[in-house]
Amino acid sequence: MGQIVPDPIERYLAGLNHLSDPVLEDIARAGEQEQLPLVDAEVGALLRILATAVGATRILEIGTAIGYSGIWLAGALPAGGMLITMEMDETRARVARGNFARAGLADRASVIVGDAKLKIAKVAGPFDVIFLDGPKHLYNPLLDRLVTLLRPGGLLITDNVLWSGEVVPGFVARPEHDEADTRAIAEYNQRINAHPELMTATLPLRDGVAIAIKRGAPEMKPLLDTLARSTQALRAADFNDDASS
Amino acid sequence: MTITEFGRKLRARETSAVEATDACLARIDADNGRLNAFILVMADEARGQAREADRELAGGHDRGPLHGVPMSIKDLIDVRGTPTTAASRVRAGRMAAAHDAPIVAHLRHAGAIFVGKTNLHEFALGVTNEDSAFGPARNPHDPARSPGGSSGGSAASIIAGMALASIGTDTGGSIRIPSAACGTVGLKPAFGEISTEGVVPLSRTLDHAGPLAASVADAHLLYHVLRGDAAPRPLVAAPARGLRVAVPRTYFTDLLDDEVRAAFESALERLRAAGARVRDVEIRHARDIPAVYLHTGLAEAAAYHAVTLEKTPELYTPSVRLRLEMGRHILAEDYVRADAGRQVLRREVDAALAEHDALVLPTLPIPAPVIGANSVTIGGSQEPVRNLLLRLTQLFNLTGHPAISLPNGRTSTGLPCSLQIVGGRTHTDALLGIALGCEAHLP
Repeated sequence: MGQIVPDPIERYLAGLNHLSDPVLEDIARAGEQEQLPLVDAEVGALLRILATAVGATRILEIGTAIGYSGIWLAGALPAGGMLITMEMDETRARVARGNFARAGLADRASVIVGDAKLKIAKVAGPFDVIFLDGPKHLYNPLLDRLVTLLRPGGLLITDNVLWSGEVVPGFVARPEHDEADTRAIAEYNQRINAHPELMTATLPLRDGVAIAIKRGAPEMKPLLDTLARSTQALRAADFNDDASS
Repeated sequence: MTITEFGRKLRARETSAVEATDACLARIDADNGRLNAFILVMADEARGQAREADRELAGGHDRGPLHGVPMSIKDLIDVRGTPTTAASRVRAGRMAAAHDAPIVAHLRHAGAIFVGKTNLHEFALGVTNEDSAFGPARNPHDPARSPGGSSGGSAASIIAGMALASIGTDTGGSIRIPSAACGTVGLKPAFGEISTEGVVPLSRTLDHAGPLAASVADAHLLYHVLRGDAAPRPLVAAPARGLRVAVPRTYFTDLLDDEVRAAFESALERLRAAGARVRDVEIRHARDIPAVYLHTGLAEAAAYHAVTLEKTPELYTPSVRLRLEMGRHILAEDYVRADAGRQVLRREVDAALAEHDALVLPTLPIPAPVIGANSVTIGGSQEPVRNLLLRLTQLFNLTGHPAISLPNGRTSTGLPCSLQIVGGRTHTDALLGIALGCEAHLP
């Protein structure tokens, strides 16, 4: 249960949420059993709504776990849209792929296994939505690259930005939290709120969700979609690269 | 009037350089307001050059076929004493060019007269000549229509009688596209044959400079002058009889306007009737051409413009700025992938030419589009105009093969149709010979 929102209110919000489905509930239960740090259904719903609101066709997620938040995100994609999601742990990635298939989203979710700090150089933007979850010590190192990968008018959504309240100086809620992570998140919050290319607001929902929109011309979107499709076509072309033969 | 005809009249004293130049300047005066083919008219300088040309000729100093020929120069190319605007406010306030580009110096040395700098699509990044700091250029056949681009003003200036010939640049088709749209001959030579020094770059891997003219013979003359060749061999037409011609099909012929298709097939019939052997070929990776082109050309263009895009983005026309911004999202690894694609495509075109003397295909799949049209209905579906205009020309920028566009009749509403002929990578002269031979059989 959260430290930010009182339990009765969290339960009330859960009761209002009409967007969950049996597949998602099943995965949430499995995640809870394994004590995996999944987002809750209310944050999941928020992700789906935001992705839908910006008409997302390309989404990047850092921190797949078993695909729970990925399903909320990918469920907003039209046919031909794509969620690219990164997970460090091979087993979790495998489970995630299975879950995307269960949710009928195998054609629009691509799981990349590896260290996001390395793999991030391999993905071609631009993205309409980027959801940053994953290891907290990666938040700051990844930020600049994520802003570059985001299209103007796109959203950078970050989870756990209130970190059980511990970003507040002197507030100690969870002894198991690494102080370095706490410092990292506090620094991250300062950076995204002061960032010249971003406009940021933070919702005290669950463990804190920051929503940042990238400034710039929204008329870039159709061109960036065109570029993304062209890059996809280029990468799919068989030019008999030595590496692949 | 062609350069060849003018030369005959000039030396027969039926005309003079001054008379020809005055005639061009008069047409500019009358029609440039409407057609917007010129950014800068060099009336005084041109008259001075013309008087000098006539004086020289009278004194027995004949510089050759270009002596006294009024020409226009695309405003992407340095002409000493004039600013090179690239049709952009980004370059406003730049000083006039201190030197001619080498290709212009060759023309000047050959006695050509420069009547002005022609309008173009801003920084050559476009194929309709619509986006220019000086407003769109217009097609003389129908001013509501685009003259093609990016060398739109150059092609229009010839058809409108404002110049006998022009020099343009071609990165995805920018000499051949306006030539096809306006009804001139346009040559993109083989890559690297003609210097692009003194020319504002768009994409150095794909940029070519070349002539637009009223005939293949004129294009040949200009080609050799631009190369600085002292005494080019005269052009001999390759006879159509026995000519081995290959038509690349599928991607290149699936999407054609009905009248363009009819004109193309009719041209093939004429060549067959004249004894040419016409076969079909396939370019296996044809569908990958647009992606390879985009990740090559736009990446290079974006890199060249990176500083001004950050400092003064508002000085670009919106459409050009957005496309350059798009280019800045291209990853290096995709640029490298595109290079691999380019090598593959080059080998495929070489292979197609191994058994044939030339490839033949239309230059444009549609007649000149209406200015402002973003898409056109063709083959039952809506296609973006830009993609269509580049579709049949951009391959040969990627591969470097020489390619020439010739007029091939008109549509029922009087708009030019075109034929494109492509030759072996080191055989531009052979291509010109083939083009001269084919020209005789076209309407």
